[in-house]
Amino acid sequence: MTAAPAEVPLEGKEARRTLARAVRRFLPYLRPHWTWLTVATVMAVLNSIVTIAVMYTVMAGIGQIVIGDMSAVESTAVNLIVLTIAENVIRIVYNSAMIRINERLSVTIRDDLVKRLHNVQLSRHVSQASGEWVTRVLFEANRFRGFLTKSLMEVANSVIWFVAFAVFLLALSPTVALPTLITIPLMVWIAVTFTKRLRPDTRAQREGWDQVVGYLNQRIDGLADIRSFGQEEAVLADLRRRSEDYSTVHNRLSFKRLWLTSQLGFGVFLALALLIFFGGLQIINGHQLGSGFFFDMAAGMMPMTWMLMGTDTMMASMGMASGTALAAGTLAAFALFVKRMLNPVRDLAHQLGQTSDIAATAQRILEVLELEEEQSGTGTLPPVEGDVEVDDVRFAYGDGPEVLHGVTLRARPGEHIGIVGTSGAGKSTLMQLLVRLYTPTSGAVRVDGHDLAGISSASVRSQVLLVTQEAQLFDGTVTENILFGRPEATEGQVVEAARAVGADEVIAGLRDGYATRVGERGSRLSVGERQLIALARAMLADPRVIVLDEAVSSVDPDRQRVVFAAIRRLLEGRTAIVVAHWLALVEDLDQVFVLEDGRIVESGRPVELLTAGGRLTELCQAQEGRTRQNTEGKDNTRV
Amino acid sequence: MNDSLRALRFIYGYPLRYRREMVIATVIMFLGLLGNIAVPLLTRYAIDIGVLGGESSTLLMTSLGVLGAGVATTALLHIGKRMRFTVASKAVNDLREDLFRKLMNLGPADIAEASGGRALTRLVSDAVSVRGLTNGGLLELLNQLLVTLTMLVTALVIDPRTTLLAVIPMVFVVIGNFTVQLRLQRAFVELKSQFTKLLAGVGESLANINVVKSYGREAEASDRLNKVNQDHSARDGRMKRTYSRWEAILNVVGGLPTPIALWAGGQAVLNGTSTVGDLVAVVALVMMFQMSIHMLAMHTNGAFRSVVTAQRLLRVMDARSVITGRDGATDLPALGSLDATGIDVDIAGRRVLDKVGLHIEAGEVVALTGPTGSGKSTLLHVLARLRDPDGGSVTYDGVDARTYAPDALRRHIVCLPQRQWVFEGTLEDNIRFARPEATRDEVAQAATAAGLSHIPLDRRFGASTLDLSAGERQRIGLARALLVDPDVLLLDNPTANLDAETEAALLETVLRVRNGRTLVIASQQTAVTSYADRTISLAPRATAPDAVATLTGAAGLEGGKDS
Repeated sequence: MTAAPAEVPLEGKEARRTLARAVRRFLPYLRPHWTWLTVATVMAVLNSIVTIAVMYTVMAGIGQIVIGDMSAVESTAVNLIVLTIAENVIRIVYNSAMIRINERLSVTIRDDLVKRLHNVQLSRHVSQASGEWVTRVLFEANRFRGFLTKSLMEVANSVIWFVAFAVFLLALSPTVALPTLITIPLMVWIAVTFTKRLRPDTRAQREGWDQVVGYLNQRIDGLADIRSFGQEEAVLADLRRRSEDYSTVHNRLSFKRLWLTSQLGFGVFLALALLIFFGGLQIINGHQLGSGFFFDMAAGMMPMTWMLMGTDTMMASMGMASGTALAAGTLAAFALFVKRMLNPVRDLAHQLGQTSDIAATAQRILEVLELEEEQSGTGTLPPVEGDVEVDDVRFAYGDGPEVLHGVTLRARPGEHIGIVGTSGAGKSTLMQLLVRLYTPTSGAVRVDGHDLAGISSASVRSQVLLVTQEAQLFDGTVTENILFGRPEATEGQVVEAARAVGADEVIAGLRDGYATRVGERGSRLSVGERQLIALARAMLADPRVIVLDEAVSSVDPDRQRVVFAAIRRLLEGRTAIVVAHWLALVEDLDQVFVLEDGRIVESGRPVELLTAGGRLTELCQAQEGRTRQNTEGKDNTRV
Repeated sequence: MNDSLRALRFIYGYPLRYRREMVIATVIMFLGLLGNIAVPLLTRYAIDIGVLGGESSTLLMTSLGVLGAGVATTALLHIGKRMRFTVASKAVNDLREDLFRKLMNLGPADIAEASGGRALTRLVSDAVSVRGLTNGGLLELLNQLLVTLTMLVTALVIDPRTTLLAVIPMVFVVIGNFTVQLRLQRAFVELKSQFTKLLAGVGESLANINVVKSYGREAEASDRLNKVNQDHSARDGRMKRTYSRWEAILNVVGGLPTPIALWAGGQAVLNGTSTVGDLVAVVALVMMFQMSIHMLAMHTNGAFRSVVTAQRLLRVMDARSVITGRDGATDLPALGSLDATGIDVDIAGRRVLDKVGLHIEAGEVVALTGPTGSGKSTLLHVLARLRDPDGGSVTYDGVDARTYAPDALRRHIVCLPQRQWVFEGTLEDNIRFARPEATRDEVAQAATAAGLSHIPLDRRFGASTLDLSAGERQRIGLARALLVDPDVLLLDNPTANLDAETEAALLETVLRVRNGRTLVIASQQTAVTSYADRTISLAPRATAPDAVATLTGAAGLEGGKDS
């Protein structure tokens, strides 16, 4: 897991553009849920209306108490209870809609990310930095999903509320409303300008955080070394220094954010003070609240509202004639609800402050979704005999330097050929070209005369199989791991395959036999056991051509004999291209190609090459030194 | 329950290391929150005397009063929060440091917590959760509780009957909330563990990507994960839905105080026992009280969840260190012969070394061979006191290894792990890591002696260092060891990933720069024996725990001399 590759902090326009791109990219994900989105939006509108109705009820209720109307007291209480129930029913429906959308979204977004990661070109960084990708698939995707649903809905809710609230206020009493309404744009303005100024700090914080994570990640990797050299205290001191540096940056940002929160918090008090002073003054001065038109409209709306709630209250409402009473009620209601009125402003400001963060998240997810997928031909490979031909193949990874400079070789059906060379000669690359994990820059890889470039990788791999000795298993049972080779096989065929490579006995010796759980990446089994299961898996897949990466195996010689026997059985009757790092199998091969610096420098039958005394002989001598414990004849101190 | 309490004590121990700051911040914030209570009281005054009494000067006074309360509240909350933020950052750093210190003393084979991804999660996201606990959590819960009580008392003073009637439903809300939280807690733990499964699944699949591709099983592999994913999302949705329903019911009950207050307070006004201002103040206080209870529930929720995180962190802190004995303080002038007698080591319930004994003379070159799992690495760790054995002892020149100060030991005996760690930085940084005070010349000498002269010291390595060959990586380890220049050098399987040519070249370098020091090379390959004065081979061990007994006893060692 490394820090994100090419992490470019996003700011201003760029951030907005990325965000817009990500939203465009993800909008289709929301499309199947439009009914639920509509439901949620309708509920948000209803919620605003109910909230206003609550305010109105309290307002009218207090007004009536001022007049001295006893009957109104009870109906106000009952209406409030009804409204609370309505409010919560609305909330349940809203939440259900949002939960449903979120549930589906997190499945589809993650699923797409996982699929994409499985389908990309097998470049080294995907497997090497798997932790980094895992973070993106799980955590970053979650954050972005939260933004798509929660944040966007919150913004929508705030806007809906503003509109509803403004209409209500202006209809009712602009004179009381205006002082309060003035504070809203003021707060939004403060939030926007302040958020802009936060950007460099947000960026510094993000970079600082990535550094801390990257640092920790690398130190975890080196725990053994740190202890070996007794550098624990030095590393801890270093960690502390870095943590403190990060704290400074982090605190600077959170202090500034806190300052914004405090300003917005003060806005509520300001609104209330203005309301008490100007609103109260007007009432005392005997001003009729509200201009004629609005007041009439409000008076006209009232019966309609009350009708919905019961005739009792309607009657009471009609009787509420005193301007002072209504004014006192309004003032009281505003004082009670001022916080609730202004909270959406705070939420909106909060969301605005998150844009650059979310843009960075969106960027990371887009990077995954825009990873180049493996280019695959469309053709299918008919059943082949296994005549493999590598014809003047040149290859470079992306824009990198060429690593294969015109390699030509051939394995006829049933033939076993070896590719030998020191590390870095291009063996692994050639291997990947043979199973179409990559396509050559020029030249061609053909099987039975079919150029693999035009054939789908799935079709190629059903007959040409890459088997690595670095046996990789998945958490699951032994049977499941073998079945991975051919999922439709029966259990009998699984046992047969295991028996064919001589793994049956070893598997039977495991705690639960074939039902033994192997643990994450096969961690509960020994290296040898893992290798045998991987070979049984290959046997079950029954390909025509096997590309065997015979990497230096880290098992002991006894186990190695068992594994070698299994390999021999697996290769029997198939075309095999053995990439040999370890030369024990060389003498069994029909033909050997020595690869050096991306070129074939020697080829022929192993016996001939060994008697001729070329590069293969040198390589084998080094090997012999290893197996026969012979110190003589080695003077190569080349590094 | 006891476990939960212990976990809470552990995690809150970190912010409470700064007890004075936390107490001051809490008191300041409490005073700030009191400012909120002043507002309904001022409104009451404004309505009764100002609006209904017709005194405009009162309006100005109360307006200014509200502004004053606003300034005081905002300022106090600001200062209190700022103090907490500072403590929170310190608490996170302290916890991270403690965790890291602990992680350094855990064997990755002994406990899964010490391995890469999990360790990182603990150090990064779990440690950061302390920040939330410092800024909110239990301390905020306490504060909120105090403020809620103050609100209640104030409302009681203004209109006791109305207040008491209005508060009744809240009792049910509080009880209901606790019940729901306890129930959710269980669901939350399950959800977390499922998420971990998903995390591991994606990691495993990506790490094994070439097998997936070799068999063309991309679709199956992603489907497999998708199933876990769907299951997780469905469970998550279920939990949220349950919570949403409960929340609504509690909200309806919790919404009752306002109508009750209006009804009872309204009656009081009409009866003439209280004023309109009283009514508004009590309703406002009751509404604030409702909000407070909601906040209380939220903070309780946070406290509940912090238990889960704390327990996870405790799993690391409670894990048994590989060093079980106490560290000595004696300095060590030089290290000669090594002796191990009756060494027993158990790792994860499996006996890895059983009554192993050996003697190594000063200046000897010893090959330690044996198959995978025979305990070679463990034995090297025991010899270098990177781990204390469960039985038996290690002595240097006849003196118990535990007598010496650890940092003195590291200058005289170095054990190079199998895979050399290369971190982001220059070659010089990477070598100097072994002895930070070394001069540039010394680093350069070590690099040259280790056969790294072809790489400039200033060459920077990235985090992935794909540009280094396996042989070069080993040589970086060797250069580090040479920089320390220990009396004893233990090499753990140094040629595991090398081809024959590179292996020979590396071993020759190792011997050339031996400079008289004792050398122990552990390897599965018998090739190393040709470089050694003597070979010690460890017998293979059975993997099944029940088979161990039959193979123990004499199976410990076979010593032998080779030309």
